Formats: sequence, structure tokens, C-alpha cells
Amino acid sequence: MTKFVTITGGAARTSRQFDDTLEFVVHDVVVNALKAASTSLDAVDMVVTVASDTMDGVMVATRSEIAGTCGRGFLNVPSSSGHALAAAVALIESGQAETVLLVGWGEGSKLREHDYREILANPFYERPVGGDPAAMAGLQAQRLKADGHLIEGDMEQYLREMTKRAGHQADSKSGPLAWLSPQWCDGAAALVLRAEESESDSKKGGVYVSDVGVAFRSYVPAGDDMDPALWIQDAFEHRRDEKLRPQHDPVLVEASATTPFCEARAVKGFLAKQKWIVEEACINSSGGGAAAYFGPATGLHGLVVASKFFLEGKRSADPAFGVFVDLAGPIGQAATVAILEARGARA
Amino acid sequence: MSGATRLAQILGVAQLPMRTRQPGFTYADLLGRIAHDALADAQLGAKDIDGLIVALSPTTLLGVDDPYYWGLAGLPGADRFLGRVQVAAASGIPALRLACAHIAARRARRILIVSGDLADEGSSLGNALGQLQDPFTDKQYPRNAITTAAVQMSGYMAANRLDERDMAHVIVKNRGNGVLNKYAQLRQPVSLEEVIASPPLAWPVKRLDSSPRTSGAAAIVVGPTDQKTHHRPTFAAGFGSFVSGRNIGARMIPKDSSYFDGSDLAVAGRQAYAMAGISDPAKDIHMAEVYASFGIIELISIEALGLAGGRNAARLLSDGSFTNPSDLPVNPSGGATCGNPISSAGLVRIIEVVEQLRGDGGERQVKRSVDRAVVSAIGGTFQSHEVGILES
Repeated sequence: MTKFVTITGGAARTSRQFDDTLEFVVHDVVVNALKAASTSLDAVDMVVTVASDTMDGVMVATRSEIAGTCGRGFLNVPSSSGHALAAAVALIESGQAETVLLVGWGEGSKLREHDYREILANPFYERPVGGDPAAMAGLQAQRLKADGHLIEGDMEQYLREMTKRAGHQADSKSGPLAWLSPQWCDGAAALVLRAEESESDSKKGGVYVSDVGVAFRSYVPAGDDMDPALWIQDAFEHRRDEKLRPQHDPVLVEASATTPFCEARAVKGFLAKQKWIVEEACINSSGGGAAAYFGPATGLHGLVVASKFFLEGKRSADPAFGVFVDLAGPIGQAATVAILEARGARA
Repeated sequence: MSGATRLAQILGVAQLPMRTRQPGFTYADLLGRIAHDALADAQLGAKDIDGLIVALSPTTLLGVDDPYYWGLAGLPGADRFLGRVQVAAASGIPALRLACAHIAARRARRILIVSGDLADEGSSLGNALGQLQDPFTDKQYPRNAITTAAVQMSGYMAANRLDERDMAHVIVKNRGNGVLNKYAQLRQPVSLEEVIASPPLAWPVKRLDSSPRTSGAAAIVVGPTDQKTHHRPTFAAGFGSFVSGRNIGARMIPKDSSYFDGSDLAVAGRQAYAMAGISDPAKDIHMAEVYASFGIIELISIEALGLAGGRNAARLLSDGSFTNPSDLPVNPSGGATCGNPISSAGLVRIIEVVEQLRGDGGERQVKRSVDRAVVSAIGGTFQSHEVGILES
């Protein structure tokens, strides 16, 4: 029998650069996530991590241990927060896990000093022509602008607002085109997901993950297919219950992408396509991902904020929905959409 | 008799013959070729696949990072890429576990899992793997895969009063099996004397005790249990996963012997057996493919998985146990001893079992009838332990 998945608690921390070593921060968010979920590590039978070789390489194994894998089942899905969330959901729904600790982290501050992501580019076709992630992001922005989906002034404003919401100072190394690039920081986030026997149980005790969908484009998408709003739409249509729509407009959206402009366009385009109206203050109240980006685990930060919104709000009989969007990769080509549902929330 | 739960079915498998170099392939070529072959084996088309997972251990060996962004372009199921699984050399088994989870949860119907390795891109495999060690503790002394195996091997020998000759039988067995495996990289038999006389890498580990540097690729297609197939149906019936994860320093204390006795792998084994409804693996398991980059790991794995009935695996091997005509063949493929493409290592174990369950093992087909088998792999240096049960 398929189980149902609820998020019962979470915690996250970000900083332009942590004073502590990242191991202490990872430990801290795990402890706080378990506390928020009113549970302990003993109750966890599986740990799913978003631990990227690109970001942390040599430290992945050590930090996984510190994240709580020791003595438990383990799965590392470093490609994106969305993939890791989908994995945690599938493991619980299929009965292979009861309580999953989903943890991710990244030491993005070192990429602020030197962005070495050219190693993500195909060494035969892309690197020789300078097709590194920065160049690809520039091409994407150019295409979106040509199609009327990007106004530079709006992007500057978006980044300013998201940076403020993230609680960070503007990055002193950024220039006027900062919205073209990830705003690197350090971060860690953890959530507890639990199996429930029935859908109604899952909606009472936590934040029910009602569906997840994924979509993917290669490093160089075909033709003029550069619009992340369409990628998110594809992911939405790839859900298990693709025809099911939330009964009401979502009360919040948490979206994370690698670059601010990609994130802004993805959310705006997707909401317009769905004809959902969401208060501007409830879109990326966390600050989103791109203004405080720590690699593929960044999306977990927004998921923590979304979960807290539902868990700490008033409950009522009426369902409330949230949307989690994750776009990972150099131009956000690994797309995930998750629909969250809880009974009641703050307006 | 089936296990308690059958999670999914293996519909198609493919692997490339393992070689030190694969000069005709880029990483993308490897994946494209192996995906095509696996779909052909499953008699499915690209449109039949609605999910893609890549099993990819640390990419230091490839000299690039996160290559799936460009490597997956055009692969079946790429539009619904479900993620990369990275649990070092164990990646293939948790990748299968994840695929089974998505299918059992009805989030996908048929998933393609691919993996590929080009181990010759850098000048030193040892140095590449050494990048994975903790720079603050492990690099203070020469801890690498070889010296770690040496510690295990010498501890195992001391605890069981074995000598180097006793420890060499597992290599002789595997190399003999590799002769019959058309996919193996090393296909020449070796003698006990040759193993003992081979150059020491870190005593007591000799060159012939360790796996070669290997490039290769593997893929499997996973689908629902009710899918009709032209092969003898094979199913994933159970999984176990257990992380001990303590750095070696924390293991070198009297009360923690897991590094030498495989008790952590045993936990994962018990989980998998429980899920599959197996109570006596020495009787209920008909063959095993265990990932062992060094001979000592195979010995520890055999015991940890309960295949030795509580006895010493090295002594049993010297008496002829676990060979192909025995009651419980282990690594009839030759194992990683005969070829070790690290990212693909777990999938290669699974593929060997599937082919044996189907009766498609060719010259290397085990002599006894096989209905149920166990696969295992260990990620890192005895950190992540993954076990799977497959049955037909």
C-alpha cells in the first residue's frame, strides 16, 4: 500500500561566509530540524543528502557522516534538491523508508572568489568555445530578453528585494549585472519527512507532499528552448497525478534557481501559465535561491521556509497549498515542482 | 518462492567489455551506446522510458564535474531525469533501489539507469581517489584504498591465523572465472604462486590482490513487476543500506571491529534478507556477486552476508567453496578482480546476476540452478554498505 509523505520539521542556515566550519553548521541544522519535527535521530531510518562533488568534493563523505548517516540507510542525490526530495518521497511512498532526514549543504563562498564551474562544460564541444556556465547564463538571458521575458531594471530590483529577504548584505563583488550570476554563499538545510498511512493523517500532522514532477534539459538546450518557465511547466505536467490541480491558488511559492533572472522568469511565467495569483510577499519570502546560492542543495532552504510557514500557521479545515520550484544546473535545466498541502495557514 | 515483496522487474541489461581505455568513446558516447544496448535487450523503445537515473561515483577520475548535464542529452528518459546517485563505488545498487522506489510508488513506469567510467583520463588513479580523503586527518599519513585494504587484510590474517597463501585462493578463483567472461578486462588465469610472488603494493596486498584500472559502462532498464518480457523474469526483492561512516581513526579502537569483520555490511544484508523473506542465506541464496576491489573485501563480504555459515571464507575457498561448480558460487563474473569500472561496479554485479538468473551466462553460467541471488557493494572505505536481492 502506498504511504503518504509529510514534512514534519526543518531548519536552515545561510551566510555569505560562515564563521564556523561547514561541518558545525550541518550538525546544527540537523539538530534543529529534528527538534522542529519533535523527533530524534533514532527515529530516522534513511538519510538522503544533496552533497555535490563540485561544491564539496573531498568533504562529501565526512559531512555526510556529520549529517547523521552513520547507523542508517543512505542515499546521496547530488544533482538537485528537487531530485533529492523526489527520492525521499519515492522511498517513503514505496515503503522502503519510514522517516527520512533530507540534508543538503554547500560552501559556495569559495566560488565567489573563483568560479571554477567551467569544469561542468563538455570538454570537447563547449569548453573550447568558451561555453562555460557564465556564458550559457548570458545566452539564456539574451534569449529571454529578446522574447520579451526579461527587463533588466526589473531584474536588478528582484535581486535587491531577494537579497533583503534572505537577510544578507549585497555582495560587494557584484556589479550592476549581478542578476546574471549566482550570488554565492555558504548554506545548509535539513528537513524531516515521515510516512503516514493515510492522506488525511498526512495533512493533519505536517505538510503533505502531494505530488512531485521533474523535467530536464541538456547543458545546451535544443534550438530556442531557453525559457525556464516552460521547463517548470513540463515538470508540473510530469507529476504522477498530472491532471490534478490544487483546489485553490497557492498561498506561497518558494523557488530556487542558479541565477536571479532565471528564478524570476521561472516563477512569473509559471504562475501566469497556471493563472495562479499569489501575493508578491509570499513569493520567495525566504529570498529565493539565487540571491543566496550554495549549490544544488539551495532549494532545500526554500523548502524549509515553506514548511515552517505551514507548520507554524493556524490550522483549519480548508486546505492550503504551496508550490516548491527547483531549477538546478548551470542554467536551471534540472527542474522540479512539488505541491505542498496543509490544512490551514497564515494568510 | 518469491520474497515478501517484489519491488520491480529488471527488463533489460547491457554492459561494455571492460578495458583500461575506451579510446573510441567520450563520456556521452559511453552512455549513449550502453543505453541503446540495454533498451535493445529489453526490446523497448526510447518512448517507453519515462525516467532516467545516472549512477556516478566521484567524477575526479573523469576530469570533469557533473558531466550528466551534457552527457545525458538525447538519452531515453532524459526529459525526466530523476537524478544522479553518488555513493562512491556502491552507486549502482542504491540507483536500482531508487528506481524501484519510483516504480513501486507509481511515479514512473520504466526507468533507465546508466553509468560509465573513463578511468584513463588522469595520470594516476591513486591520486585521483586520494582527493576523496579528509585533508585534515587522512592526509597526515598515506591512507588510500590500497593501504586501507592492507590494514584489513593483515587484521583478518592475524585474527584467523591465515597466511598469504590462504588469502590468495580468492584471486585464483576470480581470475579463473574471468577467463570465461567475455566482458572481463583480465582474462588470464593466475596461480597461487603467481599471486604470492606479485609485487607488493602495501603488505600484505600484492598487485594481483587488487583490481585493475578500468573503463566501462553499464545500464539496466527497470519496470513494473507485471510487465511481460521475453526473458525469464527477474525481480528486485529486497534492499539493505547501512552507513558506518566512521573515519578509520575512529575505527581503530578495541571495541569496534566492523572494519575487519564486516559487521556493518551484515546489517545491510539482514535488512535486505528481511525484505526478501530470506531467513537462511547460506541455503536460500544460490549465487552472489559482491563488489570487491581487493580480495580481502570479498572474503569479508562472504562472511558478512551469511554465505559462509559462520565459518571462515578463506579456508572454505581453499577447500573449493564458492567456485562455479559449488553450491554457492561467488563472483562467477570474476568480480572486480577482473575489471573495476568504479561507477558501474554495482550495476555490473546486478547485470551478472540477472544474466545468471535468466540462464544467459554462456560459458560462465553457474552449474547449479539459480533462482535467487545477492549483490553487494561498499562505498568509500567501508563507509556505505549496500545489498540487493534479486530473484526469478
